[in-house]
Amino acid sequence: MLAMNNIGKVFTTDVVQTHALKDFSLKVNEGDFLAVTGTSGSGKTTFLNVAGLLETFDSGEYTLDGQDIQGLTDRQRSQLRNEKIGFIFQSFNLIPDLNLFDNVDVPLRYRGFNAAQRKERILSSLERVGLGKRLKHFPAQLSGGQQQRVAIARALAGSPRFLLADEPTGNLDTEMAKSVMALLQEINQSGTTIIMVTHDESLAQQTQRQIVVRDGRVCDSGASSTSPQADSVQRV
Amino acid sequence: MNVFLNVGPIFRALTRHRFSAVLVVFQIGITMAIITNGLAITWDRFTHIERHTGIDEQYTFFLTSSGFTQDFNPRATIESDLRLIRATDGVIDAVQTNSFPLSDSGNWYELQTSTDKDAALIPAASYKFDEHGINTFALTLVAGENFSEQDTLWLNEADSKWPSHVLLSKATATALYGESDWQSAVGKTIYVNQNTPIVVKGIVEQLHAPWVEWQHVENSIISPARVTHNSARYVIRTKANRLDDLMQSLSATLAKENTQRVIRKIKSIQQAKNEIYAADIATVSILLVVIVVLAFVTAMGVAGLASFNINKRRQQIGIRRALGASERQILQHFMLENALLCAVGAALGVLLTLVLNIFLVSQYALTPLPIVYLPLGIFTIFAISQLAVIKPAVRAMSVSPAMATRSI
Amino acid sequence: MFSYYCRLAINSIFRSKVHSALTILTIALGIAACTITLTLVTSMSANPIAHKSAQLFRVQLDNWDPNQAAVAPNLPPEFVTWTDANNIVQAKQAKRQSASAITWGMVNPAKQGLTPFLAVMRVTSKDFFPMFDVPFIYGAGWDESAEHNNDYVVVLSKETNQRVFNGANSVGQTLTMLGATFTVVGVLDDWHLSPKFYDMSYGAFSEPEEMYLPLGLKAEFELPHGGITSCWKAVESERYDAFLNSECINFQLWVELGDPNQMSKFSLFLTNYVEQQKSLGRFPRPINNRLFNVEQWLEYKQVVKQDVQVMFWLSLMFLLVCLINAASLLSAKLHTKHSEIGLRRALGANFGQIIMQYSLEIVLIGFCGGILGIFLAVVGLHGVAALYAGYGHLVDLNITIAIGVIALAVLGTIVAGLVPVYTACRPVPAMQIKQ
Repeated sequence: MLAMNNIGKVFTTDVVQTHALKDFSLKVNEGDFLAVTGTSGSGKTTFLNVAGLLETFDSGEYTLDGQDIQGLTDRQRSQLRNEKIGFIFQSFNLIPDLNLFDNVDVPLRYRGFNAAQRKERILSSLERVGLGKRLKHFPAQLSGGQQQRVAIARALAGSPRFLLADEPTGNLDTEMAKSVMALLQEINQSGTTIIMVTHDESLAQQTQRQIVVRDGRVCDSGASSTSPQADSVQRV
Repeated sequence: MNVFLNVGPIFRALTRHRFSAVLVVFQIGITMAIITNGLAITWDRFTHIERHTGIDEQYTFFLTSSGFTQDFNPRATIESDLRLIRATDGVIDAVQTNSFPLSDSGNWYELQTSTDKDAALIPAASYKFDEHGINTFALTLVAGENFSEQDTLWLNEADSKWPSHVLLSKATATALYGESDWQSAVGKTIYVNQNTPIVVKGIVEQLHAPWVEWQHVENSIISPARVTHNSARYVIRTKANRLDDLMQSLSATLAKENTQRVIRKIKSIQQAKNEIYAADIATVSILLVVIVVLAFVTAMGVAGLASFNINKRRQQIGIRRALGASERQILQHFMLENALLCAVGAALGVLLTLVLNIFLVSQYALTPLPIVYLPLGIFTIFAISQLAVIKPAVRAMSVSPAMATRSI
Repeated sequence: MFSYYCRLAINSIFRSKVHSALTILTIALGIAACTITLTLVTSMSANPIAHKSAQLFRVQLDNWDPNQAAVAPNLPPEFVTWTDANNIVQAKQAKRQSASAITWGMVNPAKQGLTPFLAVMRVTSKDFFPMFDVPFIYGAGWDESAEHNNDYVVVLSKETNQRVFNGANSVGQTLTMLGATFTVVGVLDDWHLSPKFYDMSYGAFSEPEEMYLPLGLKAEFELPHGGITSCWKAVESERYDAFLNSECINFQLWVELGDPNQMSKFSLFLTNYVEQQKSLGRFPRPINNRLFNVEQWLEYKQVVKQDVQVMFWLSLMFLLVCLINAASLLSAKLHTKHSEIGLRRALGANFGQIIMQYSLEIVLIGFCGGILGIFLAVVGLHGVAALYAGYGHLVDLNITIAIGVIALAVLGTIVAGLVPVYTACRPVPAMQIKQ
């Protein structure tokens, strides 16, 4: 599904060179729910950016869903992102000027679906996160948890092969965090691969597999001791 | 602490926002170039329009009486009209004349001090009116004396006779007899059109020719004559504040008095002046509007950029406040930042002002920019930009030190 | 996709109303300033008879003072004397020829309730009307014999016919004027060439005269010399015919020449004419004949006021300031869009799509600025018309300028927005997702 082999990424400014990723190797299988942890500055965000094709890398190989990423044009990378990857951000990153319907619509527009297809997908994905009746609301009218659900609906609308989540519960209180986490697990169980970056150990423990990033390398990898239970999923 | 010690860090911070800083610098520079050149042209025109013609422009008006019947008697009409007008309450004096300053029509003669072939020819606009002219036009006699009633001739159109005595404007006397000797013209004989001798009876301080753009506009000669013509022009000076009602009532009275003629072209000198200078007045008005709107646009741009920068730096301001900066110092910081941008802009502005001026002077025969306009332009642009930044800077001042600990 | 971008652009414009309004206003002010000056420059520099411009020639002869040129440094006077006007018109060496001058006189209409009035007149030759394509509603100009016999005939302008005959077909009617009885032979339709190139002595944009009479009547009625009269030598006496026989210039002389061949023949004729006059003791200066066609004549007379040209340059700079200001405002706005841009990139928009989206917003803002600018320009032009008395007809905005100016607004805004949009869209998307 996703294979990184000796990926290197260097940030160069006038003064210093920072090796954000160094010989970074990782293999993620279809259907995995992987948690990436690490201290701040460890390189986990850079990993997420590279994995999500938001940033290029300087050395190594990266294969996504059987496709070699090296040497793709901006247009091809954008298309890959659009079709195969869904993003979930810590601060939700909804567009405040657009209502929920239009927010979920954004990636579908770039996908080139026709109006009927878009509508069907938007309604079903908002339905899936439990916000099917609030299409005309604007992000500011929702709670943090609801906003993150919209963001998840947006990520799901294009039926991506995998989700990249960056601290998806970082801006939420415990109750809301729990329900968002449960939603992610449900999505994972229906077959979507998820990679989640977090610094919250307890959150990481709830996934099948965790890796720890330190100084731009994977330094620890293992399966979770406690597998999540399907019946612990709560609905809002 | 000396405010100007902050120049270094502020300047370095500005170079971090190059694009917007460069935009503002250019905006300030070009604005200064336009405003400075615009002000120079405006002032040039304004002084041109406002120069003295030598007559009372405020309470004087004129009208034309045109006879149209076969048995119309021009001379009798002029005599009775003048008697009537001069006796009207509110009229200071009135005269029948061939022309007057700002009328844009008239003729001129060449004057000489002798009939020698090499004596200089001095062009002078010709005015023909009787002894009431001095009073009607509110001219100041600076040497010699006014005509007497006996000096005044009645002429008809075809009559080329010259009266024996004339008055000159001081500029004409100076052109004939020199800067120091102009007074000596009184009593001397001068020659009109190289052949007719006449004696100078007096000199008036100033009386402009009828054509405002004439090269010799200060030169004029007055001969005591009334030229009879089917159309006669009267110039009438009224007492203060009687102008408007007399313009109406007198033309009505005159029209009723004699129905063999029409009264037309009733206008005040002020109106005539506005028409003559219409193009210049339009230029001045348009330039002033442009300058004001431009100042407004640029002030908006400067204020917009400042408040944008301040919003972007709210946390930074909070940190500065937390680290002990006073409200005053925050205000000073932004005023100084603006002043720095403005200084660079003004430097560019000086260059652009000169380039624009050289271009305009070479293309359109404008007068070169007097150097005093550069400091004036710099001052104006600083004033606009500092005034514009006050409001956003005051807002920056009120940012709470607690902003320091808040993540955006 | 286009309609999606449109929706996003409109949404974004309405979401930040004050900012958008300021940007649009800024652009509009710059555009308005340029439109106003451009309208003045184009209407002043218009060629009102473009289709015949190359066939109509202003004739100038140098009868001036041997010691001083009429126009520095060495140009002939702009007008001709009565003698030359009549000689050249009567010689009939061109396809058409007309000499004319402004004058005036009293008109005593028979119409009840209409008082006598002073009418501004043009004395001219019969060819004047066909030469300048003068349109008639009724009748036509006078004919050869009327011109030859100095018949008392008159052509009225449309307004004069309205005033005196209530607009009726007055051809054949009589009119008492100048103390004699005239017969109306023609009534003009609306006719106002601007610039009034054939006679600019009362200004390039002055009103046409109220009636037209045969040239010969000027001498017969001793009509006043309107327009510009200029003499380099004193007139011998104050008698009327002394003026006519003098070297004083007052007449506008025009000829129509069909082809270059005719032109060279005519200029040869002029040379011979001046030679012949020299033998009579006139024309003390070297031969210095000029034939300017309409285009060259307008150029020579510098019909576009210098002030207007200066203001045109200033208004272009003004527009530049406005565009820079718009660029600042757009740059500030796009700064706040960084996270949205990053997000859209993450969700699959490629660079081109993002550029498209924001460019469209900018185009829309520019378009609104252009429309508002045109509106402000129309208001401003009315103001200008009030300032320049008699320039009313110069300030009509023409449609080409209007369209051009909107295009300029859009183009200018795109240029102004280019750098802000590019810098906003350019950075690697990842850096913007996290705030």
